[in-house]
Amino acid sequence: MEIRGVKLKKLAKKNNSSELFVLKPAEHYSVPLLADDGDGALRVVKVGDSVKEGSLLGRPLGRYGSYVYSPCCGKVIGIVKKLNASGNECEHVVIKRDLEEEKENLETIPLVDQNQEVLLKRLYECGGVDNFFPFDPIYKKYLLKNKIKKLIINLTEVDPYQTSESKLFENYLSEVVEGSRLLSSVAKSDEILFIFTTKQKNLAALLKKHIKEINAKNQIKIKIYPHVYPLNNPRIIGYYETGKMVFEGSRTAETNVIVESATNCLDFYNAVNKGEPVTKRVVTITGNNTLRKANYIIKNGTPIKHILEVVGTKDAGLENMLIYGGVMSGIAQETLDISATLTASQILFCDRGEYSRDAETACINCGKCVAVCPVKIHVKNVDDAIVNRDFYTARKLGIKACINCGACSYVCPAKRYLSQKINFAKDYVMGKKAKKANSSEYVLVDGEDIPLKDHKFDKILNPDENLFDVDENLKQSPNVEEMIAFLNRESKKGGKK
Amino acid sequence: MGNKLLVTPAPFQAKAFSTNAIMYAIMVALLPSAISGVVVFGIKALYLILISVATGYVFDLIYNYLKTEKLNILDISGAVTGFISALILPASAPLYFPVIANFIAIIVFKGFFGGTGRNIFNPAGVARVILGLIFAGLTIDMFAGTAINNEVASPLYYFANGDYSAITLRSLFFGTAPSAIGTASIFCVLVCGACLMIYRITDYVIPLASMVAFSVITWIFSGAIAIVPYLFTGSFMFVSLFMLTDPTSSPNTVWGKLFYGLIFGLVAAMFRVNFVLGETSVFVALIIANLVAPLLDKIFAPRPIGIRKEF
Repeated sequence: MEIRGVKLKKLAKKNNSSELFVLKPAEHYSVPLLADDGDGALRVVKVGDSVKEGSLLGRPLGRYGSYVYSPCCGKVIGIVKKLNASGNECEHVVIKRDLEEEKENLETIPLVDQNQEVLLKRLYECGGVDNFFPFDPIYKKYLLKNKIKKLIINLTEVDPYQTSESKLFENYLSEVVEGSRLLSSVAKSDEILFIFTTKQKNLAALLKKHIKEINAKNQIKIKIYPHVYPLNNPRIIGYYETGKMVFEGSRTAETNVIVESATNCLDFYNAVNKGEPVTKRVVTITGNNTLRKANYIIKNGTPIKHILEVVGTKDAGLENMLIYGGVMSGIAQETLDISATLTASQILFCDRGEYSRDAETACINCGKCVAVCPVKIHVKNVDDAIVNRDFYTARKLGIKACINCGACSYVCPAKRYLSQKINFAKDYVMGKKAKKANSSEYVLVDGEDIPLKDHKFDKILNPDENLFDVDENLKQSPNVEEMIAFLNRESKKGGKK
Repeated sequence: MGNKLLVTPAPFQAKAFSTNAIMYAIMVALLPSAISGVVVFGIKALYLILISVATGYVFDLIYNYLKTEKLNILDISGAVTGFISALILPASAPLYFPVIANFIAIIVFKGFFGGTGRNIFNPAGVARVILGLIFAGLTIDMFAGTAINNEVASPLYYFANGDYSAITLRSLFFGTAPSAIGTASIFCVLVCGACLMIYRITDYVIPLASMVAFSVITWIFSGAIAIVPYLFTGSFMFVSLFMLTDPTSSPNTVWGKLFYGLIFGLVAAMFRVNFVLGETSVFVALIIANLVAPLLDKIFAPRPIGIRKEF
């Protein structure tokens, strides 16, 4: 199958040290109960509660929620309703860290008890969220009744700045492989396929050696793809592997494969064998404005301000940009008043030289956008339709297939804002409303050391006040059996909603 | 860190490669052909080129100013059109020819059709066809020979009578055979065209397809002996490498490009075999291929994957 996409060029120096650094703990953690998008979690703590590392902060709310655990040991000093890094309003639990280091872990699962049901339950409990479908907790794709032929561990790192996945893989190779085998037993899949790009051949060699050592040649396979963006997208990898593209919002499990990242494998391994819930992940922190560019292990809810203080920043004039996520599909932040979550693998603090801000010029009809689109949209015609405000034609040309990879905007010699326009039109066609602007100042919480400021979007809540106006039946966390029944009914119809 | 942060939608990076860069690259790629033309055909060729580039640039500038009220002096797409217009004229052409050609190309066939990126035809090609129709026959097909004040007929006239030995391959290769200014030296044209293809500035499917179709048709009707002389004369190489690959008037998809090239090669060969239009024939084939391009775009439009059928 023809692999379509672009080869991205890096503008900043990539860091090649294989070390992972643990970020210095922050004084306060502000843990969002909604990692990115979706239903979030229902808070189970209130102001004044003492929490340990790994204590439960929230239970899943609705169908797309996941468990949230405390990243540190300390005291809950406030509950704040504000926007998370993706611009969705949710509650943040603000924890003041104390010096103790107590842990409250889940029970470890001994090897003899590791059957599919127990492991699935642990996958549900551990609180992992999918990197690419942020509204989806990782356990959801294992609930479909479809026979899973392959568990794909997608290690392709085609984003120009990202190194987190391969560094994690280098450092925790055996854990990742064990985690993938555990996940494979949850999925009841026949084989595990590790996918690398041509630039990661050293990792593939490492893995080959390890497979020989653990004698798992029949179970674990390796495949090397060309270094093309957006291969990191699970739907695209699923398409190249199976020849079938799943609809947006559906899971690749419908085409009998499951795509996972190395991070999820490691998290699941820790959750099963050490009983650690997911509270941290490896994040690449880079960009010309940062001083110590490296891969850090960052806890859920660490304020970005703290991260930047620890990493060190240059003040390079007025036009800085803080990108939460990759350079092709991340979110530019308006404020530093956000916290790191479990979804972004990179945080970039860029100066003027690193992002493009060219003015749009007339399309010269070169067809480069059509050639690179991984989902084969006729981008040029869609652009014409959107410029003429003809959303009917745009929809007919298939803008709903767009995966927001940004390859078309990247290659356009006329610098047209293709991806941006298609994104807008897609939201318009699907009836989504524009998100609110983020708050612009770091305000928080009761307590003495941080001044409390009044802000439009921030609402300090009383400990006893009920937070969400949700249905009574939604407040209950759904049980796994119901979820399985629901998902399989959904998938017969061919996707979500 | 008291500074404000900039917010824009993703993606934040773009390839450092712009429309203007393409134009400059094409301009540079055309230079060797032009220099060879000036060396072979004399100083008059230089005058024609200078007048044409200047008028092309000025017409484009004026039209864009009247339309958008902005003076974008860095935009050299008009100058590129002017350059190509001059290179496809014979050196014996009067000095007012490029002015007429550029008026037709830039004001009528580019400006009135909607400006950059909206023209159906290749502007320089369609202007050359109209010039060929106005000054029909020998006026535009007489070339300045290598000697001063010496005008000779196009090699096509010899070939039409089956006389392939009148023109040597060597003279075609280095541009000393009678021809238009920039299209004479096949060596320059091929090397520069190949460079543009290697740097992915122009497409490689279109020229290759057109050459294959042209060779096959020539072989069928005139025999194998005619293939190379036909390919190397009548501006065919120049048109298929520099003008047919003009992104605006060519299709977007690979299959579209393939058929576009084939159609051009076929039509150009048919015109050449049945000798009627002389040197203008390849440009007529060009605008016929241009006309087919939107249809090919429609036929070979990609079908998006991963959506439900709604309509």
